[in-house]
Amino acid sequence: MGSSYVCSYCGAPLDVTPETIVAICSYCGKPTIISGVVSIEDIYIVPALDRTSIEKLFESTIERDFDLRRIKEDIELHNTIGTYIPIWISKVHLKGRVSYYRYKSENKGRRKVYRVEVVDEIKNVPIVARRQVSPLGTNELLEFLSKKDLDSKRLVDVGTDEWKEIRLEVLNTEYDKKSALERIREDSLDRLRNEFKKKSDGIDGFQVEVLDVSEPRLLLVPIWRVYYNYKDSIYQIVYAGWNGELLVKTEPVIVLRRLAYVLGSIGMILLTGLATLLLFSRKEIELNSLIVPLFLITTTYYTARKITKGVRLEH
Amino acid sequence: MLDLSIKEVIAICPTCGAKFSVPETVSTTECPYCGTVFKVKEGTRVGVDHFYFPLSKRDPYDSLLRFIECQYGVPLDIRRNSTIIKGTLHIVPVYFYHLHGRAKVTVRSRNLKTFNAVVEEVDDIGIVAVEGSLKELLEDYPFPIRGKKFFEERIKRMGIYYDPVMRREEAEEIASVKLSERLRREAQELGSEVKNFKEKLFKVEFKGLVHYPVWEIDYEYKGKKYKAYVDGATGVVIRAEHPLSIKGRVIQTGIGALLLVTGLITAFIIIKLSVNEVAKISSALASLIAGIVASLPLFTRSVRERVVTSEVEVVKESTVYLRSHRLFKV
Repeated sequence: MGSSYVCSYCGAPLDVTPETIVAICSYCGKPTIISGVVSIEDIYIVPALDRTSIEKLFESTIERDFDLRRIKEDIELHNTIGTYIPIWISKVHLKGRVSYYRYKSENKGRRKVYRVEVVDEIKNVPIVARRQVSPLGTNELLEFLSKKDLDSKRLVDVGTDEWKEIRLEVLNTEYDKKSALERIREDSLDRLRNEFKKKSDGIDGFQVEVLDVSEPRLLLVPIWRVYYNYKDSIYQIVYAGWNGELLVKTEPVIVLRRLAYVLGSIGMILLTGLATLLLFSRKEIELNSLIVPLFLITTTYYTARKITKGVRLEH
Repeated sequence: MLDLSIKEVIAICPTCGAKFSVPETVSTTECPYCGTVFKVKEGTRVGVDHFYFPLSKRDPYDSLLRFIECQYGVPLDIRRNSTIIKGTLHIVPVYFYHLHGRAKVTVRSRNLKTFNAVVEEVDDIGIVAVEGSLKELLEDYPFPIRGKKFFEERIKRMGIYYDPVMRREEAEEIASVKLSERLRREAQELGSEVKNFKEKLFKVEFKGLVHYPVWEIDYEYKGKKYKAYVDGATGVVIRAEHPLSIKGRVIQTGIGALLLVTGLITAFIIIKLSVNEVAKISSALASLIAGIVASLPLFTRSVRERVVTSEVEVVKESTVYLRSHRLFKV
């Protein structure tokens, strides 16, 4: 329902409810604000590549991939879907200090080596402007946006003809500018903290504050998903919709690779026996030489598990 | 640009005085600044706090199949050879809250000594007011926060209607506890010890009791039954069971046996060698265990008949994680 709403530019009906924030007309591409704190000047679009270019890219991806080119005869294109994901993005100025530690092995164990880093940077902080997001590729997309500025233009400046070329389904926006600002502030500190967590073994002290947040922009970012068949299943390759860069893909584990894992597992079992034999046939056996067979058994398990993997995830 | 613009009027919020424009056709609106729901013409607050989410026009079974077909390991004939046995619409009561909390903390650390910091948490959550499997299914579910409508009596006849099992006060308590916990957790990540914790802002804003549609679908594929839950308002697959194709299961059992036998043979050969007893036993044991451990993933996976996946990700704190990890670990 909600069909009393029409596009203020071309008059086409809009499929909205009174709670919709912004409706992008599917005919002319212009935005109409329905509710919430946002204005049309805030809305930008990163133009998408067309379907034909993406499908060509798909073909070259198959040619270039080690595993896929060996099975390309059995690969068939299933579906190609492009969407615009609404993302609020701001530049956040973070300032402060972070103290973290890393473990360093020494004679009888390990000790913490501390480092203090001064933080004074302006980061791009993107948040997806909706609650439910489709799985694959979104994380990679956000990573991209946090590191690089994309070429975008104001949605209102996109002419009707250009819209016809770059037009895709636009996912609904659920956060207005006010909600976005709150979440971006919070998210910026979480992101920074996670970065430090990743490069350290623990955080000793995190004293960082948000000095400034720039006016957020609502960016419509395109993403293309190419689904293909191989034997019994469907896999997908996700491309950055504006330049065709590969974000992430799932692919079948080809026989060659699977065979390699099987041989690897057999090798690990033999190695485990051999290494243990050598270790324990010495005159002096230390208790901590048990670590070696345990480590080898664990590695054997992980190698064998790779045999069962039906799908590989590659970035 | 055609001048088919909707005539707009200015609405003035009776609570905070904010002025904003709404289409002329809208009689009741929500203030985007303070959230008060009020009648535009009269300027009076509306005491309505009961809503529902309208059903999506999309066929839930079709949404389900479209999602399942793209999952790994699903037989390609899933659409052709599966039939829907039963579709039940549950109308689930959920208390919606907007949480916004801020606390001033004093943290102790080794190198930064004792310092002050601010922790902040913002989120929109739903407290599910039913018991049983639906509650577990929808725990932490990212309900859409826009698109609700004022409750109408006819909704009760749309499907299985549930009255809330808890009062608003109870739900509010749960929401408050969640906010408190999140703030504290964040504070603990700032250093080795939290010395002082003072809540400066603690907003647990009630957004309404929303009756939310959830489809429970039972379907059959080649004689076996599977169950799935689809979001009735958005068509997203909340959780779905689906079959795995048989091919490969047999091969995996074979490989599992091969690895087990490798371990056995290696152990056997070692026993036959002329080395000291300790070395013999320990290494024979090691290779035996290695063989068993290696065959485990192959045997357990070949036995698995159904896999559970979800279309929904919860975007939280700059990490996007899957509700069910089976998507890649088949």
